[in-house]
Amino acid sequence: MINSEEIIKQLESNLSTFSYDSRSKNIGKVEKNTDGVIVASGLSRVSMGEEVVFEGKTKGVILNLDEDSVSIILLDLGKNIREGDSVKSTGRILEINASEDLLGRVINPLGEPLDGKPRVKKGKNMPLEKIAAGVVEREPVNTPLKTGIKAIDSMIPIGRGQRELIIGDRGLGKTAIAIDTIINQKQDKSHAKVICIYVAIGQKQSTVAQIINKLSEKNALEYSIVLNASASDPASLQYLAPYAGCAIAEYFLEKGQDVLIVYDDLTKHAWAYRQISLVLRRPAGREAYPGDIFYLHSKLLERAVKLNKKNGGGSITALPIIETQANDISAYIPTNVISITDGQIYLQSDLFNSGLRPAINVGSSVSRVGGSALTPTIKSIAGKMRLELAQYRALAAFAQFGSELDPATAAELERGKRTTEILKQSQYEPLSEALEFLSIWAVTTGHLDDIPVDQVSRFESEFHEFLKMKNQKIIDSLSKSEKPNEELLKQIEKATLDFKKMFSV
Amino acid sequence: MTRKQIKQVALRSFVRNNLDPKKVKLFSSKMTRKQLRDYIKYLKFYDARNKIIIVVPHLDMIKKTDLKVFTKFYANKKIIYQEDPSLLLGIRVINNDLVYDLNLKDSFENIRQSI
Repeated sequence: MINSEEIIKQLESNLSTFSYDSRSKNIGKVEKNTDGVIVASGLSRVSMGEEVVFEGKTKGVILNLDEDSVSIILLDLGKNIREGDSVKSTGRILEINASEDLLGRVINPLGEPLDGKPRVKKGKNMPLEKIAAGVVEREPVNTPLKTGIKAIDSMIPIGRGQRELIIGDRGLGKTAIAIDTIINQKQDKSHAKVICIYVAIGQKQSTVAQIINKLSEKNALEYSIVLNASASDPASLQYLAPYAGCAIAEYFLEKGQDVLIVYDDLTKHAWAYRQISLVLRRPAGREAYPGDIFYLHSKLLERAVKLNKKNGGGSITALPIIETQANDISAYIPTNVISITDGQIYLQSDLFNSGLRPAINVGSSVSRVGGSALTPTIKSIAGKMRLELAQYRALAAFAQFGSELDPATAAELERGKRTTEILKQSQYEPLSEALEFLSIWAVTTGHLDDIPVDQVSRFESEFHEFLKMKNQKIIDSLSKSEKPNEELLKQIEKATLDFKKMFSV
Repeated sequence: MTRKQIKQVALRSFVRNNLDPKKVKLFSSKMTRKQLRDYIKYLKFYDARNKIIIVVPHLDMIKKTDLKVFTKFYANKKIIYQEDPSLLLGIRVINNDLVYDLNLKDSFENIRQSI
């Protein structure tokens, strides 16, 4: 509660800057209200994207400027708006209040708290719509963003400032990869801390609640912000959610910090925009999406950036998620977003059903710029594993014909099976870079060749425990993100052999 | 009749900023229900555009010199004076969809909002 002294102080400060000039207000009248879109006459001086306020304090945003009227999308349900009500321009474009106090909070795209805690008042107003940083301010992606998932960190590496799409059917673990990445930022000590923003668009409240609980349980909420525009929120809020998330990310970027932003998911974002566009009577194109649906996503993802040192050196890494129908990545929205991003992690249902989790199709997944952000540690083993896996996939296709195989081919097949097995990983258990290296090193150097395929997973977890207990020095040395030298490799070899003596199949 | 033509008809229904009842009767008799709805909308629009509403707390506060200033400033518009004691002090000028506030009520409102 504000006390009398504060009120008087506020009045005094207003008095010192008090302006005697008349202020003009642009007023309009509500003509029509159709499904959350208001058509109003008047308002001849408003601009596109300007915030307006209705009589009952309901807020809206200008989305169409016609000859005699304007179309406004409502930012809440606005049930009390009637024909003839007045609507006032504010002269402000849509903004969100951003500050460090938002960390650990759950908010909606207007910055209103959804976690029952008080609204964050201090901070900086960041515009929702902003032109992305130009080429002069940027530098190439050069720092890794560790996901803690072996398959991704070794074969589809993500760099800070990259836009990496996560694409696949429903229920294949797209959100799980994003959440694992957020959780993993806690243990990546070799690089600067990463602020994580999770933007839930058109999702069930129960799903978002589960994610918040999981982040909280893993102590990841303290460096994260959850922005939720659920399925029950108006389409306008779902449309604004990713831009609001990006505006918050830009606040931290301005301070030179690294930010990871997850858009979960852009398919529903496109649906929300399609709904708004159809109500606004904009011409419909393919799959009834409006003509600017590509621009909608490209202007958002273009705001992912790695700034150069002169501009603070911060970064925004974007992980957009797209849900496909029946593995069809050639649909309109998936192809659009694939072409915008710097690579994609493609999850496939048959891999998921065969027990490979995360169900990443390594062949169709790609990281176009992340390779240059690989650490020397992982780089020293990733190439070999990728090659072995590619050979295994080619051989496995031929081996299906049932012809007799020569011993070398059979050995390659066996190695491939173990490599595939080692890439399996449980949900919410991201690994540190050192442990990722040790697992991949063990399989590529043939130490797992004599371990039955169904025991590989147990071998890996016990091997990690053994190293943590008996050889912490090795883990510490590998955590420095430097290429392991001969001496270190010898120590790893010795430790592996020691463990194998103890390991009972 | 297209919407553009209705707009033209509505504009021509005014003579020296005032609606001409004869013209309105003539035009409206030849319109369909939908056209008539648009015609009324445009009449309202042009009528508001031709009008300036000046609101003061009390009408006797306006001096003769003020009247001259307003007439000179809004030479081609019909000026309507209205009384609203809630303004307390000052003036409000309504020019179609633009509202200029220079009164105590608005100042208090601005202070209240900033708190």
